[in-house]
Amino acid sequence: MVPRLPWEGVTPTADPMYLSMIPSGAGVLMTGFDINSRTHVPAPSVPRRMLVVDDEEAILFAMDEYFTNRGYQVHCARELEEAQALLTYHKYDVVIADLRLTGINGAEGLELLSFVRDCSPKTKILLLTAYGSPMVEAEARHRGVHAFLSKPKPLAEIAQMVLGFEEAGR
Amino acid sequence: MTALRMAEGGGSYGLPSVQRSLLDDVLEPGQLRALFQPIYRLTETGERELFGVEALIRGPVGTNLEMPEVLFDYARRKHRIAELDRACVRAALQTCRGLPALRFFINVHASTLGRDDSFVAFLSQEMAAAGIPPFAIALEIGEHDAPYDRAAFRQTLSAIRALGVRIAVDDFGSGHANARLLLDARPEVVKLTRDVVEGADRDELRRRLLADLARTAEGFSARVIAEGVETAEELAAVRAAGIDVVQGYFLSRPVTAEQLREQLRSK
Repeated sequence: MVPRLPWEGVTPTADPMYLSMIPSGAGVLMTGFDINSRTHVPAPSVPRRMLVVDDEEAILFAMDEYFTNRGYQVHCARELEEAQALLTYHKYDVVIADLRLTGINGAEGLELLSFVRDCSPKTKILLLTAYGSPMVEAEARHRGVHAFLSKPKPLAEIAQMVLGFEEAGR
Repeated sequence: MTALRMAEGGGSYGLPSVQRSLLDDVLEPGQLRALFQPIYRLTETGERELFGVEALIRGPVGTNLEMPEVLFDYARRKHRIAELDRACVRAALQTCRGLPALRFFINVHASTLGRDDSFVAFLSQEMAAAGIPPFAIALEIGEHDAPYDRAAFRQTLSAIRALGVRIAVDDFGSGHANARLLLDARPEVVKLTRDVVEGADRDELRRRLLADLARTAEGFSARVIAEGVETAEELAAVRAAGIDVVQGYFLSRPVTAEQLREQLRSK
């Protein structure tokens, strides 16, 4: 049975507890992800390792909670270089990264994508962006992204996609 | 890439970000911790004498940077390894303060010594602040970075030696810790990489390499230390190679300053 998160099935506006449980940046969360989704996503049969890379604390928090509760071992990183260092010393089955991280070029996710393809070719990588454009998407596909998703996107939908990749890879 | 960002409808037009990074937090005083791993000399009767301790830095507890490999790799990618080295030296020396008189091995990158032209003054000041005499310190020089400025490196080493600090080459036999570093540093101590020690009891080639590396180091009149000794069998193989100063989990895991003080008190 998939464990229910504290906020599952709760309407944010109707329950002040919901808001108190979410750290700063809740606005991003509420508009960025549908964490109330009840879609059933089965847990992986063996613990899988996931790296989530985003410079929004609230998004990291939500992703960490969501995927940890579904049987993943989740590491979170806020910066490109932090993610690269983690990828150098840990193996991940899945990387979910925002396209735009703290940095100077605004498309650090693409750099991370190339890094993952080089150092861990079997790792599945999903890029998320609120600033998608056909040009950037084409570049991501050229570099071998497994999925390029525009935000907001329900967490359950992301989880289904991750599971699909993992099953396809077995 | 700027074009990509502009195509996305926003951006910095290529100007560097001034946002505070995780590394800025780590470099704040009190964020780095130093543990100590004892280094032992084995006597002919098989007894252990404490030879010194290596200060091992850990990042903030519970963060990705707690693991030192990740911490240093991250700083390297940020091109801020020299800043991190200074913070580590400071944290190590401050933690050494008040410990009994010992040899303290403290790590620093060769690239930092080749790049940071005020490092010697910094080191001198930090040793004085911690009340640790220079002769009690051995700087362990490692290199995981791009080639360092050899002339500047040698100049800095001369100045460090003039303070009375000893020089050790770390991880000799792996990565960039090679013959060039040995020739440039002319160390008093050479620490052999764990890559050769690991499994030496089961691998004849490892044992030969261990003995060869030890002979090379001794050719420089350097004291040889074998790192990463994790089993009784590895210890025996290291001793058979003629190495009598050793470090590793089999002998002791890294301990806090308080635990080290306690261990010393109980002897």
